[in-house]
Amino acid sequence: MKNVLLICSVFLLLAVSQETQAQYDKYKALYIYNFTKRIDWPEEKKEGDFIMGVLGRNNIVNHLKVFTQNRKVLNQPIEVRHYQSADAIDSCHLLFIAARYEPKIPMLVERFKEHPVLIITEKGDANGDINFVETEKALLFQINSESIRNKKLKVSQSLINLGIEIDDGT
Amino acid sequence: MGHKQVIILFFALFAVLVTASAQEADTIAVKDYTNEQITQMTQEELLDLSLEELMMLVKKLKLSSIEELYRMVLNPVVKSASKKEEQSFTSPLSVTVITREELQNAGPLNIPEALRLAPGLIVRQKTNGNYDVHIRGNDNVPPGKYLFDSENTISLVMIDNRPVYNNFQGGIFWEALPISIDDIKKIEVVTGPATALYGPNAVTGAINIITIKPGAEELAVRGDVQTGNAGTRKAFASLNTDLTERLSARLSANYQHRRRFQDDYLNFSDYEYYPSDSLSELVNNAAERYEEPMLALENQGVNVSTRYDNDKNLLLDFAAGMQQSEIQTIYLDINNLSLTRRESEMKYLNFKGQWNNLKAMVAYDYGLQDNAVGFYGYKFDIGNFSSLLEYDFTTGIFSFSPGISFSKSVFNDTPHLKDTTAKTGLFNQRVQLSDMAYYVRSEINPSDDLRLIAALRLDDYNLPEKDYWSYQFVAAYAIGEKSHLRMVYSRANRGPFMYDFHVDHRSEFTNSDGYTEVERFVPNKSLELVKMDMLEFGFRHRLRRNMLTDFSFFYHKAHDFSNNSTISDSTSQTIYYLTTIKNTDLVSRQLGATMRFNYVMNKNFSIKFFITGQLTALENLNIDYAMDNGGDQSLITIESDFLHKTTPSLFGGMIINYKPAERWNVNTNFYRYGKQHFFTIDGITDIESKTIMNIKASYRFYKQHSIYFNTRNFLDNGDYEFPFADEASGLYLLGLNMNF
Repeated sequence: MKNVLLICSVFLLLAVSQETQAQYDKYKALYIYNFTKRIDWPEEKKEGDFIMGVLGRNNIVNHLKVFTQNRKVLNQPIEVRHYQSADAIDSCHLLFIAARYEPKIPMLVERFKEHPVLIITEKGDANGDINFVETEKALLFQINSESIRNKKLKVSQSLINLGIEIDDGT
Repeated sequence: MGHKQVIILFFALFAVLVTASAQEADTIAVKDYTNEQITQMTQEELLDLSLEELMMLVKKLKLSSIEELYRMVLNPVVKSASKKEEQSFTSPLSVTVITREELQNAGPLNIPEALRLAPGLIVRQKTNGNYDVHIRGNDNVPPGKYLFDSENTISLVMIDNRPVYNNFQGGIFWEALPISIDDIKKIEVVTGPATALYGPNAVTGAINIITIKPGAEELAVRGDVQTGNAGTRKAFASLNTDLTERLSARLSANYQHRRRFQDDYLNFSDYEYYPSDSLSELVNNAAERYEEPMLALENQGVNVSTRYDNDKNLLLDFAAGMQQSEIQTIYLDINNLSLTRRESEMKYLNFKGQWNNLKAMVAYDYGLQDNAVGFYGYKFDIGNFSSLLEYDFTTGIFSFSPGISFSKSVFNDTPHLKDTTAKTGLFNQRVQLSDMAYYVRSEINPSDDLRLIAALRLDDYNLPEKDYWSYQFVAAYAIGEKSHLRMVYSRANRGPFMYDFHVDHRSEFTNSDGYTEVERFVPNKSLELVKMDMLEFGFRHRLRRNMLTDFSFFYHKAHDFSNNSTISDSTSQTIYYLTTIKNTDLVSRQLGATMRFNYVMNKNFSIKFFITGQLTALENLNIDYAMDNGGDQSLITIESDFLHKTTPSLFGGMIINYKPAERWNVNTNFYRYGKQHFFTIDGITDIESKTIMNIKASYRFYKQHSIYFNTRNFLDNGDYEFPFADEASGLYLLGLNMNF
């Protein structure tokens, strides 16, 4: 009996400590796809495949793969790459960083500061170019137009208007 | 083909269909139309949306899911209080809804255990999986009788409006209900007299179990299995399909097995426990009476239902099923040992139709029940018929709903008796009870805020040969959108049962002094039925959009209880006893209150708390009790008023539901009752207060499939919950739930 109680207790602890999974992954993937329609990448990135990189979050990867199948960003076919670690990240057009990789965000922001890589995070005020903010009533996003422009990406005013604009103070 | 073969065949069919449908079923049917529209959008449709539209869509989805959650938890739709759908917040009676989601989250293993999730109910476990259920109390009245008489015969239980109480004595054979907890869409509990709405037995309240109907209410294929200690095995499977555009069908099967927590038996002769292998020294026929000593409960059922809906004005529901069950519990304490074995094998048919405002129901259940296996005379062939016809008129502020109903119950013990002329059986013939009833419910709404309701019912029984009137008057007033007041005055009566009106029994034996004792039990065909009057005030208040309180203050006065009355005479060699059931002057007065508090913090956390406090006083209890107290005869005389303590003075529960992450759900629920004092012919005993903590933690590992731990009585508190019953220990179960 004690063993059963112990197993139950471990199970409950696991339940509480389990990483919170976002409930709207499908819609986050759709948002990401829509972002690419309102951002223009520099000419040197308009050749070959359009690479959507994802650090963590298998679910988002799966949704993105489904949604972008046979779709293009301008004329570029879309490829979704799933990175298991920050070190594995190579050249991509946008990078989605899952919540559990939050400690890696400052390092990755610094690394791609002057590269045309749109950084999207799952956490508000996380210093990404775009940060998802999920409230009880909506799925919003913060947008840092300044940092995006610094990467030589052109962002449409309509996207800025839809987002919550943040200023990185630079 | 026997029941077991049917069950095995069904589960085999289920396994094949699961495999087949797993490949094609990818979309999830949901009830809410707005959500359905959104969730059923194709990939292409979603990709064609602009970001603006997408953001709006998510907002709508999120808002509707929060509003839906508030509505579902705080203000679910209820039908049993007015016989038509309404929000529970403005319901004119004291009513609770236990939803399917709450049942799934909280994890009760069967229907009586699920009733611990509703306020106002006293639920005590007798043996593993077998329960004694009472609404608000008045249990074991008058005290000092057999525990058989403490069965709840004054509450009505229905499955889809079909009464399912047992006509032998009026109690509920919970294990003999053909459906399982997984077949249930919701349970509606009306506390307080409701005979005027539903007919006899709804004296302390009515429990309406509403099943999942074929069609959109359920996914195509469902399966659930659980296993754990104390031999607990539970399995359920259902198939649901649209046969045509308007015709749907559903098939389900259930099985449950529970073992006792102990292998010994209490002997009333000396109040000692005896191991099962020594029973032949204590009672006759022990091998048959206690064939499988460790078995507490085993039941199985198969149900099939169809629904035809022409989407305009015609709705036809047909259901049929069969069940088989065997339990050991405290029921007929006519033996030295406290437990007896009960077997049931019943089938049922239920037809319901609605054409415009005309509603009809015809139901029939039949089969074989042995109320005490191995005891001569308790095996019966049974047939119960019930029917009703109702019509709803609504014009402006006035609605008027007349109805008629007819029910008939037939018991026949002759096929199971060796000889009927000697009257050694209970009935020794085919016996019947019938009821022709006429009723009307009318409602007038002088303003949008005010509802005035009057319901009246006349029951014309074949026995007793007397008309019984029951009624209900309600004034309900909504104070803005946040508060609701109600006042109810009602009268209800119990129905007649075979045990009271048809038992005609003779027994003869030679006692230890060499005298012949002849006992005759004759029916009293003019016995008055128990009646109860209630005055109730209720107040609901929405403290915030996500916080609700509900108070009920009730006063019950019940009378026309009955008790055995015996006279004796003797000759030089023979002693004669003549026993019949007679009404007593006893009056039960009960004063109590129930408080309920519901709070939905967000979609991840909700809490429900409910408590009932009550006091019951018995007046005119001028009865002498000859008690067999450990072999010594003792006489207890109670001549005046008596504070009845069989009903706990406080009882209630708490349900906390927490979703720590998207795929996880952890439900912790508590049920507690206070100390009780049982005064029975078998002895006097106290049941100590007890808190039962249950936890169910589930993890959705893929799509709608989940695994879970389900623990009942997590702290393994083995305290007895019912006099002379088994200890009630913890259950620790692993389960798998699959939905396609």
